[in-house]
Amino acid sequence: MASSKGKFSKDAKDAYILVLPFFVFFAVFILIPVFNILRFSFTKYDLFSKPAFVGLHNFKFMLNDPVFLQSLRNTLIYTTFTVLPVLFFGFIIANLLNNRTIGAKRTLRVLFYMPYVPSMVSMAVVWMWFYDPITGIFNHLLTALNLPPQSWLSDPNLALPSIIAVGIWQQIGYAMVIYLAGLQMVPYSMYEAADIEGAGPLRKMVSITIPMVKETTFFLVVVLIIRSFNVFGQVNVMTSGGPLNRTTTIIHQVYLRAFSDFRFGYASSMSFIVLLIVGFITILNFKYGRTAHEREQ
Amino acid sequence: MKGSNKKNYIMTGVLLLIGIVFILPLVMMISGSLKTIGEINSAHFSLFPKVPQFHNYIDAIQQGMWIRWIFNSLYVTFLATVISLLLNLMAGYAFARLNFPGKGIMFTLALTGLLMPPQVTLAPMYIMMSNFPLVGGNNLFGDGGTGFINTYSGLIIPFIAGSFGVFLARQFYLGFPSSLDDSSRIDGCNRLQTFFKIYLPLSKPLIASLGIIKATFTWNQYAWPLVITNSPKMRTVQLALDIFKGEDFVEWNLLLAATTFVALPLLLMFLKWQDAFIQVNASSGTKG
Amino acid sequence: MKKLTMLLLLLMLTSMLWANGQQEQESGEPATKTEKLTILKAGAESAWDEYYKSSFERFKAANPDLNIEFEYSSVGWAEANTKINLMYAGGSAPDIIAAAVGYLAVRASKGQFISLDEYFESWNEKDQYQEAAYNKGLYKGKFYGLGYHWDPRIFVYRKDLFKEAGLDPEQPPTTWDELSEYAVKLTKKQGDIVTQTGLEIPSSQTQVFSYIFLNQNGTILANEKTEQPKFDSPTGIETFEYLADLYQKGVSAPHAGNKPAEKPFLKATAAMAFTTPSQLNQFERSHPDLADDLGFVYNLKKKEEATFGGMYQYFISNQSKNKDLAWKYLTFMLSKDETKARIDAVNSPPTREDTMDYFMGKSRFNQAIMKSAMISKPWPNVVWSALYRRHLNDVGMKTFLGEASAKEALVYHQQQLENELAE
Repeated sequence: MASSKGKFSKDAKDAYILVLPFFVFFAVFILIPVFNILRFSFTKYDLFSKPAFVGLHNFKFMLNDPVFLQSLRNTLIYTTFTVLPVLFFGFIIANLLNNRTIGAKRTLRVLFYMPYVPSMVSMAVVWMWFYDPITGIFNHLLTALNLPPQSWLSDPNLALPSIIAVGIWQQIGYAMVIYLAGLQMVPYSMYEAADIEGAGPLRKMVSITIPMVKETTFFLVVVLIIRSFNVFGQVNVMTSGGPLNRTTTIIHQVYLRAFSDFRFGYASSMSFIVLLIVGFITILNFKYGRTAHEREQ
Repeated sequence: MKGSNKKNYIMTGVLLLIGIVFILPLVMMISGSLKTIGEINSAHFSLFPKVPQFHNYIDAIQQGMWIRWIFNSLYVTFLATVISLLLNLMAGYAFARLNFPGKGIMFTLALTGLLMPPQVTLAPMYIMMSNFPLVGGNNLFGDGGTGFINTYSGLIIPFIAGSFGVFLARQFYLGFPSSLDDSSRIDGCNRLQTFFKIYLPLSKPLIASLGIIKATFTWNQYAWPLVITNSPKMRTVQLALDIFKGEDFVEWNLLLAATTFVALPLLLMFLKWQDAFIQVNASSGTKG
Repeated sequence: MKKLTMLLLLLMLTSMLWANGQQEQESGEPATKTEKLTILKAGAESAWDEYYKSSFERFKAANPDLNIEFEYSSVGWAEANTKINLMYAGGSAPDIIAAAVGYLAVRASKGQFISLDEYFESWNEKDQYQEAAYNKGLYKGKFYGLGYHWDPRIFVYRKDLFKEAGLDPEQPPTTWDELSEYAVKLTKKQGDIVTQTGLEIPSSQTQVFSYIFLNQNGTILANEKTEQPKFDSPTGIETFEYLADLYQKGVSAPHAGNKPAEKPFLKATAAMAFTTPSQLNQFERSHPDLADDLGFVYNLKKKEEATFGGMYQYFISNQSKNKDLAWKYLTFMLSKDETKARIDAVNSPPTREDTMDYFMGKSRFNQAIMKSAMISKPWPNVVWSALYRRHLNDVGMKTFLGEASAKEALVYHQQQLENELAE
């Protein structure tokens, strides 16, 4: 090898030319705002007068704020009941699609992916129409079956499941597509070997497919969890956080506190908490993901 | 492929049926866009309109300045996508193949960029954009003018700064055989030339895939365009949908028509490039 | 070669970007002594956008000696607060903000709006300005919001459905007891499903509805002078007990109070309802054959005649560099001719005494709109108005759904509000 120091510095110059354009933009337009949010967490600030330092007061108030605690609960429920079904159904459908003929596969792929394409807000608006108590399609179905119609978005017990349904519907296609790609990496020879041993389809899936797409699953888990923790659009459009705060989420609270209540410092401290939780999960994944990968080398 | 053909056909048929039910909401969106407002508001339900009101689309476009708004979205999305593609691919290659001081720190910091939703960084970003020095009438200290407010640059810049593409690109380039770099080194190329001459031409699937993701994301943005634009002239299409939402009445038929044709370009883009999209997303899931 | 084309592309793109960052004039007027006025309107309906554009033309025509340029922007109601907050934070607040009375208290208290007392005193047409409108523009005795458009809730009922139920269509309810009696008589059910709503009561976003009745009972659950909440008042408890009892009689199909699409009245399945002016027009468009059967009530009361009413108001921002010019434009907007133009363009209920007849003659519902406007009450004039509305809604929902008694709910939320306000 040539003089490593010389190669290193020459490489480094090129590396900086390649990396810095991105990183400068990133640092200025994302890192600095994030840093400001962290800074404002410790202040009382209405976005107009000068911020006043209040130390940990915002965090203390948060622990006693029943609406915030409710939003934390809602966000966790939303995350759990969105991510798991999306993973499950995405995986199943990807497997079922994998063995179709090319033409059918392409058509089916498009069909299931379509909900993911328009903006979440657009789809939330359309689903709001479906949930309408009188003209919505769901209640029409119920009355046709002689069942009582429901107030999907106004009933405190049904509102969060209704919002979760929209989230699941929109993201199944995304998970399916990612899984489809992952499934292509599973060598067919492994299935043939299992066939020879007389393994049934369920056994094959559990012993071969699921372990082989482990990393795809991990990737999806992280991405889906981050997205679920940040859910805002559907809530803002469909329920405004109600009824009785059963659908408000952390980011929705951030929005309300920042822009309706003039409590920007408090909103920033909530954002801080979100960053901590989500950052923790992401770091976990990168750590676990790397060791699993290294184990297989 | 063992297994009877008949069984396969039945399964395909069942899946197609499920698929169609699955996209029923989208079908209803289109059918609603072809109804009259009276039909939509009536207590009586019908899947399809009595007489398709194609003119809803014309009526929707004629309200406001849709030609301008579509241009705005196209312009912003195009520039944001192209520029961020270039920047992300360059950085992704550097993280994948090169070593340099500060690499670890920069990479870890870039991770945080994945985590924040717009509502959180909205306010500080806005304040920074409006007080950006030497832009839009601002002096050196950022006072006096309006900075990037209500400009195309203001719309585009935050979308260039995102870091998701860097990770995807890095994954993609990690999959290239390192012999490519070795042989280009032997040929006397520096790293820049290696990237532009060798890696970039081989990046078509990545460009298609990342391009779709970026373009979709930018096209669907609502929160940032809302705060950074002032005049109705500068609105993007997602904002434009608001004109059908009156203070206490929603013009559903027009809103659904507009929502449909706003989503159409993205769908067409996915249809065209779906293979590349899937192939590239494969690598993101297989290397932690 | 490829590198070169890429470089050229990049150059082209960057120059386009730079070029666009440098401009954004509405018109290409040369910089002779041009005055600029920036206006932000809350609410993004095209009809209003068009109207404002035409008002700029008329203003310029009426002031040919002035070289003035208008910069207009509008934002949906849901996001208007966010937009305004950010503009102030960035130091780029507009000269004039066209919003509503709900925006007044908190922004006036922070000094974001200037007081218009001096300007108003010097206005030669101030005698034509409705006293009711003037009072709604006050905060702590100073005048901040120049109201120009009423937005009341109107109590409407279907005479045809009254006849069907054996009730006299010319004798609508005027007391709370009559109201519940009639509501029950006018409700039709199929099993548990309400097919005809006797009185529309929302099952979520209930705050406007509750507020109407609170005012009719003589309370607003807050002390505007001290800006303190008074949720746990006996009158409040009495009101919510009445409303919860009425709700639980099942007189309304469930719907969200802020989603007009769900309103039974607009689907012609409600006998009595509180509705807005634009919803009345919508009803006429969707059900033209029933428009003649609509009757209106202004004297429903327990202690006072009251309904809920917002008002669109103009504010001048403290960051404005053109306050005199802004006021000049506002007096133009409130002039007789321009008020009439506004009535023609968007059927706007006026705040000038001498245009009320013109308005009431314009459309079949305008008399009802104007009369309701005169007895309407806005949200309490307190800086924590957003919090007030959220907690009022929670009280309504808890009591209607039977999750808490009126007393429990009001006491609990009084405590919560006190905690929040101690911040």
